[in-house]
Amino acid sequence: MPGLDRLEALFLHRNFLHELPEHVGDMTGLKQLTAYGNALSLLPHSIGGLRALALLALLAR
Amino acid sequence: MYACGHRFLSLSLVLHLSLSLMGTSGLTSLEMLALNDNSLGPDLPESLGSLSALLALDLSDNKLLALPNRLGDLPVLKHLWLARNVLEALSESLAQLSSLETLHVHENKIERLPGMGGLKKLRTLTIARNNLENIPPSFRGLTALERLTMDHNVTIMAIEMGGQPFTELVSLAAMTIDRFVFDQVDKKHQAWLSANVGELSVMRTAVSKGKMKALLFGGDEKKGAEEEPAE
Repeated sequence: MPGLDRLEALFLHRNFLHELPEHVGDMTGLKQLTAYGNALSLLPHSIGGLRALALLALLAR
Repeated sequence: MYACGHRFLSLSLVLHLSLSLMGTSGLTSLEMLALNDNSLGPDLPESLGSLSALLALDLSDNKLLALPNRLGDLPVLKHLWLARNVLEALSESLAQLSSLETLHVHENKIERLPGMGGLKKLRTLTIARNNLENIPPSFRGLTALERLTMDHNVTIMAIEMGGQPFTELVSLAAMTIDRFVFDQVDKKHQAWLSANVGELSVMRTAVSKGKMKALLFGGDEKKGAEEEPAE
């Protein structure tokens, strides 16, 4: 979901999501994110802005 | 050998790239993150510690066994909800959350609490229904604490806050405590609690007979558990 860097709120609660998109970390203007009541079992590292580090880990293999 | 050198070069370039990108992407404006009622666990990415604007984080009702160490890096976090996970411990870094006002960790499997003295703004703390073995001396530093639940910790052996344990919690207005703990507090201090804590709930939690007179009230030194009776 590129081009959503000005989005301020994303409500994804009470769905059947198993994961959040890696791109969520690009929504740098986001102030509220609700994803409660889904089936998430892990979070993308990009949530805190570590995509490049993840890339590094991938290349280092 | 040539290929090996090339690989090394590209890795160092990526390392530079990664360092320059750190902190420039990610949800650094995010103020509220609600991830409660999912299946998150057993742990979370350390990068959560980069959410530098985060005010409220709800991770209740997940499957978390441990917390990221960097959680303590969240400089303005006010509310942290972690109830109903399977946490066995809280990371020591939690003590750095100097803006924290609410900490819910009830209904986990926590045996030990980290140092709490740094949580100078903490107003609500729920540690009920865990496997706590002791209440650490640093509890005395929670001078802003208004609401405390600590019932249903049948494993508790020691309250290390001195002989009059709760007197320094001068803001305490509501408290739930197990009957077997309350009954072992010094009589004068029981009276003080009844007079000063407006909403005092003493819970009749089922506990072995030996527990009813086995609690240690001490100072800072960690006492042994040799007097612990058999269950």
